[in-house]
Amino acid sequence: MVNIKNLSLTLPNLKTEKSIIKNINFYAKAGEIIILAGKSGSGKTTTLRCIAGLENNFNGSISINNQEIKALKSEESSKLTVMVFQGLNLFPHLTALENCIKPLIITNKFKLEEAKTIAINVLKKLDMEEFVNEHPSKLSGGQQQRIAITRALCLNPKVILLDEPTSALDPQNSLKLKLILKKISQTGITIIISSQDMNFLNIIEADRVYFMKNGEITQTFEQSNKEESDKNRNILSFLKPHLFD
Amino acid sequence: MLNFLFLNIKLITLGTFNTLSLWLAASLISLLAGSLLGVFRCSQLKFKIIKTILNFTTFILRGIPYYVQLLIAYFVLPDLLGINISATTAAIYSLGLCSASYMSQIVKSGINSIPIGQWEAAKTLGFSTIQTLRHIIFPQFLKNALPAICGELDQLLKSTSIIASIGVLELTKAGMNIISRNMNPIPVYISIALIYLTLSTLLSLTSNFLEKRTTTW
Repeated sequence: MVNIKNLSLTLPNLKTEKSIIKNINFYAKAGEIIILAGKSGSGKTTTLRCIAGLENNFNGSISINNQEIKALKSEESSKLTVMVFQGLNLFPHLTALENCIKPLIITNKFKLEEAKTIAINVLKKLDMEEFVNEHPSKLSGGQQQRIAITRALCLNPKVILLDEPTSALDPQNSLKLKLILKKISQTGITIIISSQDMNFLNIIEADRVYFMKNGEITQTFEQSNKEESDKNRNILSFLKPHLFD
Repeated sequence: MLNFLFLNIKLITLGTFNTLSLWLAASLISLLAGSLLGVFRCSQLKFKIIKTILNFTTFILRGIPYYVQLLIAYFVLPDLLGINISATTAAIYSLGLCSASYMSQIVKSGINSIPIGQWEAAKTLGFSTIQTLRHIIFPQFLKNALPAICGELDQLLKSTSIIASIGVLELTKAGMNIISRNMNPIPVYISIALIYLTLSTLLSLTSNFLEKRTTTW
């Protein structure tokens, strides 16, 4: 369970201090897909960065399974949450497999063979086993995206954060990503996505959508209708006036 | 020319061997101290006081010509500190530390050139700062900075010739000794120049080989 209470972040600007996010409150239960929607500069990515432990000067509270993120070392917080960046940030000098096993060996202290078994199992689930020995530069955007997700999944976190996951994907790969995320959420992992891609928001079946503007959550959309087919229609009708105003 | 080389081969071999030994020792100091200085000065680590001290140290080392540093190390420091330093020791430390200040600049800018996203990805995956440096940043840094590091070591090799001024018998000093005996500088200086050129070429070839080995991605 993710609980975010009164989250605010102010960063020093050239002359004054700039408020990036203001008084954000939201929650996410295990296995839910949550979307932070909004235009560029609305504070979506910064919110994810705070949850990932990349920003430490925030006010308020972020807890995952009742553990305060601010108090945790990176080694401990990676067991709770892992972020998949917009630029993916795969390690270019490592192969796809090495990208996935390195954190397992370094952070989770697995032996090489154990780490390999875990990584290959996850890579198989995401249809990436044929690319295990390729370096990221040899892979397409969609394949790199799946490696980045695999790398995060291997650590078996409670929450996966995805920042603009479809920014480098074509519609076909976006659809594949949606299916992958659905599968992941069914295993009990919470997924929090920041996105302004209407096509993706059109297909993803989110449990809740928070619309952000100028660093604040201005609207919340909660699924009341449990019919899967109705979910996206509802999200779309909620977001359209906000994203295209 | 060949006759000259044959007559003085012993002294030239000794000079070449000493030059390589001095270079090797100074290179080790340069690489170790330079890496340490560079890592602490990189923008990702926030040790403000240490950074200020190290920045000042490198400013001093880079701002004073190597020849002057060598003279201070050999003539001034022993008097000031009341210790006895041999010419070879003074030469190795002054050359090594002077080169370390340039090496630290290479290391610092090399590390700073790695995108910040690599540090952040490593952090969210649970790596500590030292683990990030060792497993993620260093291999990428090496690929980018290897030509500059080899260039600095090449420069260091050629700088060993200045050590002749404090009487250490390295290649240039060996040449000077031969000239003082036979008063024929042309074959001596041409031979010495060719030896330096050969050593520098060998270093260049090693650098190219290492660059190819590290560029597999």
